[in-house]
Amino acid sequence: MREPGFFVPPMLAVTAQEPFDDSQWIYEVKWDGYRCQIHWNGTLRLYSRQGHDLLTQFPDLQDAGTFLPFPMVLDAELVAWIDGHPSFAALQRKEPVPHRLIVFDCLFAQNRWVLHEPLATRRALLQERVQSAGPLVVSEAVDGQGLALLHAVREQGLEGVMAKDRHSLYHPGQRVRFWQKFLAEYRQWALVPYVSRRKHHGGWLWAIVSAETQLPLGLLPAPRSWSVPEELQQTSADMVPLNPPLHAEVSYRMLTDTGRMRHGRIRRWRR
Amino acid sequence: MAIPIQLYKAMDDDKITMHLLHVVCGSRIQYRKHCPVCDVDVQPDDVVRGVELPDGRYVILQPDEDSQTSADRTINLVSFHQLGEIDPVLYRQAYWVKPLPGGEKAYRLLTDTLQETRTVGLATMTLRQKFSLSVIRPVPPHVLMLHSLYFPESLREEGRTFGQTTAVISEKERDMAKMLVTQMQEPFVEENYPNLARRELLERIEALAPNAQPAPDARVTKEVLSLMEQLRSSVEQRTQREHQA
Repeated sequence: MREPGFFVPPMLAVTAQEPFDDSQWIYEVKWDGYRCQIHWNGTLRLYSRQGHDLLTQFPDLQDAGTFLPFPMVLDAELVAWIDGHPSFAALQRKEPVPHRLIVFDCLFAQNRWVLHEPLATRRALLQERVQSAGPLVVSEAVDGQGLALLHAVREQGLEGVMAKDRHSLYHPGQRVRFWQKFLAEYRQWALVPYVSRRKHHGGWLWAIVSAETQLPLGLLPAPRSWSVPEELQQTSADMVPLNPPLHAEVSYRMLTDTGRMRHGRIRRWRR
Repeated sequence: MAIPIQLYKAMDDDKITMHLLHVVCGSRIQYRKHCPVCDVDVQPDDVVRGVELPDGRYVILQPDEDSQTSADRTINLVSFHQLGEIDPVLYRQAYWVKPLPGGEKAYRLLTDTLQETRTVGLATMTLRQKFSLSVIRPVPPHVLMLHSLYFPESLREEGRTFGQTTAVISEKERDMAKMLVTQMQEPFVEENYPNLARRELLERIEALAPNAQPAPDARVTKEVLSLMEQLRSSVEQRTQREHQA
């Protein structure tokens, strides 16, 4: 097996059909950030999900290793933190805000790889050896209570819950069923005051505006169930007002800090 | 004969550790190793130690050349001397010497012998990967202290001539000076010499403590941990409600 320092493709989760409780599973917050593999063997390396270097993008994390016994390899989520919550937008835009590595798994410790050890053992190693200090925060898990955690996560406006079988081994690079994500989706009825012609694909986009605040929530591809009216097909305008507006129920994982939907979609709509 | 021992730093540094903070956000500032020519932050692997020659060129020392690294952690007593023979100028850092299990008897024997013969031991050792000299001396009642020493050749010789003068001093002047010194002579009482400036600074720090801002770094970590704690307690409450229902 390779020495620490070499990237191991991270294990990935499937999206759960339905959230569930299982006493043999543990549940953690699904943090909205970048997947990050931490390698510390005297030299610190931070790898993205694809194995790209994250340290040059986030040099404020460069002393992370000094808070770890070495050598060590950890699986973590890199988050940008603003006003008590993670901000994916701030992370993407490289805003100069504090960053944290929320560590949830241990792949190498005590001079050996522990991928073949069950998750419960790997987490025990993590908790023994790593403390929340410097840029590191050790993720806390709850046992068995996936639905209650999803409820709590939704109330806090967080992205979702990671459910993990406590007996599961670490399969590098594989999307496995022993790790499942529960996404905290948000739904609301919104207005569609105008439609817009998509620049290159020729399709149509719906402008989604909050019915309550009248603020734009974003543009979403028009549902297939909507047939383009005659008069719109002939117009050359890029933006066409709908009078009266349509109503659409949108679901999205979260709102960005500019109030736009992330992973938004139209669940249903009516005239 | 070998005595297993451990060294403990004996003297507190009297300076109070301070950090440089960015006044705008209160964060500890960072020192970066920066190359002004390449305009990059330099990685640890890309740094070597060099020594400048008088002509401005640099010789680069490979790691095994610049530190005479030694894994030897023993302190070897090589000779014994009168304490007064060793000039205090050579004294560097003081350590308490503690016997480790199995070494107590030999430790006591060495302590008592040094005390009775009024001698100190001169020893060689490797401290922080550097070969150095040290003095081991008994301190009443029964403990040993080790002082690391400068090498005698480290002394800058230029000062030796600072006292030369052509002035003539009369007998009367000598007698007056001696009388003055004798009058002012008194036992050295340690308690008479408190570090007042340090105490005053510590009092000032204590008075400011209630207004201290948590370092922004620690604040964020606290926020993450408290968010996880809130989620956990909300899960617990929900579970309890379900059990009651």
